[in-house]
Amino acid sequence: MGFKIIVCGMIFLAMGCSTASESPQVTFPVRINDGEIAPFDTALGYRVDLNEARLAVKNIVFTVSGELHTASLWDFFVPSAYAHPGHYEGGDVTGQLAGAWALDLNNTGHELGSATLLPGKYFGVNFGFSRGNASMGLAEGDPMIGHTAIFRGTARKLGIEYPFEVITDSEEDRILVGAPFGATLDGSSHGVIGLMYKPVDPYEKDTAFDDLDFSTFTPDDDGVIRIVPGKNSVEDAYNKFHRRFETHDHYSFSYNQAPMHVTAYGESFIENGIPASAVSDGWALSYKKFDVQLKDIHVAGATFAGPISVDLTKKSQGHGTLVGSASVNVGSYAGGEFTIDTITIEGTATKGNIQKQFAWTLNNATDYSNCHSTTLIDTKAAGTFQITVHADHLLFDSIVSSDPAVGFQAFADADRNNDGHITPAELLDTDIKTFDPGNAAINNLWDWLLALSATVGHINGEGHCHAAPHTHDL
Amino acid sequence: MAKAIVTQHPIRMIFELLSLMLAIAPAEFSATVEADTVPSESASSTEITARDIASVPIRTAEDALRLVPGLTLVQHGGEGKGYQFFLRGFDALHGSDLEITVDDIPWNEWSNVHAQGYLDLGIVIPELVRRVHVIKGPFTTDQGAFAMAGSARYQLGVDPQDRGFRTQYLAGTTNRHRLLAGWSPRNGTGDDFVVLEATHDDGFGQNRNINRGTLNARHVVFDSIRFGSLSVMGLGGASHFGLPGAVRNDDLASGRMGFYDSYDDAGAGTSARGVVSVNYVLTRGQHRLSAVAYGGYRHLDLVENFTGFLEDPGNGDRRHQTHDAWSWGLRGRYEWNMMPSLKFHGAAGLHGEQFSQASVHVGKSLETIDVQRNLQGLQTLLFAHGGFHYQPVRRLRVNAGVRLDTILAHVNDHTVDEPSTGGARFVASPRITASLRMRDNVTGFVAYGRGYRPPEARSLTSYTPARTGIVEEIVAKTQGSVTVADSMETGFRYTPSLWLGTSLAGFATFIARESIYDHVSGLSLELNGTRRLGAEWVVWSDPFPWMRISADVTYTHARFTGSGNPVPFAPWLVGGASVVVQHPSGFQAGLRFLGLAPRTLPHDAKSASLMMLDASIGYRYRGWFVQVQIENIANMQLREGEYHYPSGWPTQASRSELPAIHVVAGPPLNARFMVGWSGI
Repeated sequence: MGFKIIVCGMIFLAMGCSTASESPQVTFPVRINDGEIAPFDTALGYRVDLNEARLAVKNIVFTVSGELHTASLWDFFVPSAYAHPGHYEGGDVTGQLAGAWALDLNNTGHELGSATLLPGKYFGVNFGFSRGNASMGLAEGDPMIGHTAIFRGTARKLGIEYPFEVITDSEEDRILVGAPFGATLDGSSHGVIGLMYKPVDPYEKDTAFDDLDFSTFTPDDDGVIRIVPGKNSVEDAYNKFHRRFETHDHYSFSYNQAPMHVTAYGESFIENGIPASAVSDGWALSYKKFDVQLKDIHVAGATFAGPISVDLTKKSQGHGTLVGSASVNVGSYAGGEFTIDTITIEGTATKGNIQKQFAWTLNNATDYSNCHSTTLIDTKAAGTFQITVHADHLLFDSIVSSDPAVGFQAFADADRNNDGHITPAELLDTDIKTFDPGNAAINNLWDWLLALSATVGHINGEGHCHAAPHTHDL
Repeated sequence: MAKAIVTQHPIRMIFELLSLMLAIAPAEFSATVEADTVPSESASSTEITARDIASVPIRTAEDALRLVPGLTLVQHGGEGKGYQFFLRGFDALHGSDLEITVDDIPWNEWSNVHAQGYLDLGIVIPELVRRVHVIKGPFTTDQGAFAMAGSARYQLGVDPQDRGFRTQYLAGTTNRHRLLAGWSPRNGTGDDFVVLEATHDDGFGQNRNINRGTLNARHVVFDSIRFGSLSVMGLGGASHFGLPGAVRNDDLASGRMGFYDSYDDAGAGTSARGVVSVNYVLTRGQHRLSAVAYGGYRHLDLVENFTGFLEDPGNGDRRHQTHDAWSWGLRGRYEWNMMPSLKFHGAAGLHGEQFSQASVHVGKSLETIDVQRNLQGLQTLLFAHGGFHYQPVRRLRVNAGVRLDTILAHVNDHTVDEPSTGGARFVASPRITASLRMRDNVTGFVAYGRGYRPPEARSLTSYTPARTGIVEEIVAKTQGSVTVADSMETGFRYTPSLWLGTSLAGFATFIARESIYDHVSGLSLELNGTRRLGAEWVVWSDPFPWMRISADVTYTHARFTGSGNPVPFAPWLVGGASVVVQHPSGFQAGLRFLGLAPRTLPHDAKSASLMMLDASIGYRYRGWFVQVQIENIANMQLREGEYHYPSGWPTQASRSELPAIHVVAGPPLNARFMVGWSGI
């Protein structure tokens, strides 16, 4: 052994004595991507709305083109081009996720597992069509069992609705070859691979439902049109659908996108109420409704135009209420923007045995921008951009103070008719007295409340944003 | 023949000092040796002589090429199967980019079922290799198909010391037994010979055995000034051998497989070939006419499995390939010394192959699962070339010409609906070399040439592999095309003294687009363009007429031009060194070292570095000759071939389609003892 080392060290110093090293391997979660499947139009003029889309697949492999000349691009789609000593790597399979799954294609973010890939420039994905079975987690009696895919929904044309169910079966060895997957990966890459079902071919705009003329099918007794294997009356339609269904046009994979959830959270003050201990004058508040209408949310390159109404009183175990989800590039994103259009609150203020009801709709659309927070999108967990609403700001005694007092007595006193309901009219008719509006020309409590409603928006807890009156809509 | 005059070389001084100390009479240093012909095409042209070959352990005639700087050979089957060649950034596979001729007979098998341009010198007895002339690059008009990376021209014959009746027996530690017997007229030129060879070897690991028999013979029918010279040569042989395949690196690392183990004991091959040629040469005044006609039969049968149970988990991926071919050819060459400074040379001829081949996926009992290839065809190559050798002044030589090749093929592919197809291709290849003797001991060289590789037969057919899920508009099969490589080289040779010389050459090769035969999937692939840049430095020293020391290093930067990715498998840095001793007293010895830097494999994988050190020592006395050959003196685990592809063997806990490194073992430390006699 010593001799070997000497030989190696002395003679081959310049070249180096190194051992073989395998390709670095990187793992990526594979998740269903792109949110719910949007309604789409078919070539025959039907508007199709899928409320269920499920697919049984197995053994996903990822392929690189190697150095094949593009003129023979088709060659790299050949899955059996396995190597042999001396081969070029054209069409190699260099990534895989083994397994079998019954996928709910509307279940955005559902993770199939972790795929292992080698560095390379990826162009395509192949996977096998399978049949649903119990090992995929399907319950006994699940209609997916024994089938490859189920599509349920409604087709509409000329005001007539056609509820339908399409079930299709593929041969067990049927491989879908060449679903697009553009990604350049190296050993340091991290991200998420998203699987997307594309009912509409993004390039040719055709759909798997293009040949289905729903008006010509006879529905079953329950009124549902069923296009299923072995049903002679729809055999031609089934075959046409099946052929399109198995083409790679309608599937694609994306890299470097991770789910990001936008949530709205009212913290304990809204979900459980503001306790008397948190209010300087002994009033406690509870909310029956605390509805914020959000719009124009921009974060991590994603946009949620809205408007989206969220009732923050729903118990969320600290997670807030989901406003929307999107697949965004992995990364760290500073800032963020959103608009709170309207706040609608209903609740009760209590002090001893005195109760005051209130139901106010605060129309003071406010843009929040340059938020002081960072949203991290990575592969470990879905990134979250949380719009946090601070309900106690509505009880501040100053707009300009950095340490305002929180109180409700002034609002309680506004109940002039002492009927237990504090109305906007009563607030409009009540002077703000000792409240500090700074330079703002605010004279009554209703305007005071509207002004304070422009301060409730925060990000990810205590992250402050620049608040300004809403100036434009998307 | 030349008398060498030896100056005071440092090593010689050491020898003399030792001789004095040991009171040994100095040997006759002024020995007579056959002068080496200095190749003149380019700075890197190399000549390997019988003396070089005899001084290092070799098993086959291909092994002679291991002495060529920058040329790397890998045996990824077993002895008996063709080698894989790497030269100047080319992964020449089994011969797709390296042309070999044996006494002017083209040896590459154009559309062999296993690999395009397949090379197998198994029927050439190494002891009959008198000279191998290697040109790295396609720079002369004589270089034909497959010479994109270069050419090696084998010349057969018998050196003076081995003429007469000759017999030798070799026994090796791997239970290798080799018997050779032959005859060449004692007072002849070595051009007449008949030699018979038989070999048995258990091999150095599992499934590496070989049994081989070979007969080489040549007879000079007549040789006169008036009628010229006519000789007839026959080469033939057959072998049966094991094919161990490659072993996964992770199985080696975990100990699940031994370094010299084999997964599949069914791997085996049979190779047989017979070639007959007639060679005629006539010289009249300023004219010289030569012609060679040849014909032969070839059979190859291989059962291999490199991927285990990956593609067919039930039956396994064994593949049985058979190839039968008749080949023939004719070439005439004419030279005319038009004036002292100008010579015309031209040639024309044809080469044809009629073949029948099949590749069958076979099961565990070698039963047929499916036929992947079933092809018959006729391929013909018509060529003509001409040029001028111009020497306007003594110091300057220019050789320029052009080569025209027409490729005709007619193929019946029984796996497609339209089995019969044909095609014709044409390629013109300009070639030029020039040398300028700048000083008495410095010569500069420049060379340019275009080399080509004809399309593989199946690339002309309508065969397309099975596919699913592909929309029709993507399918755009391309017909096989001729691959051309434009190469250039510049360099110099410098001989500061009679005992020291060096050469330095820079080279570049550009391929715009490459059609290559993927010899497992049966696909003819169109690859992106590549370029190879590099340099080769060789230094040699002849301290005595009976000793040569040489060392070389070759660096290659081979990249796909579009992506910048390295061309996989081909070594980027190769170094070698050798010492050859043939003392007039009869003492002979040789030492050969080869080092390869880690080779780039696909997908950022890397092979290990490789170092091989072989030696031989022998003594010749009055016709008797004994020699001990030792391979791999350091007994290192030689990872001779390393590849990167997926496989599925039972050793794997779970099925994976990801590529992994696979290793082909080179020989461990082993020794062979040979005793021979020649005389009468």
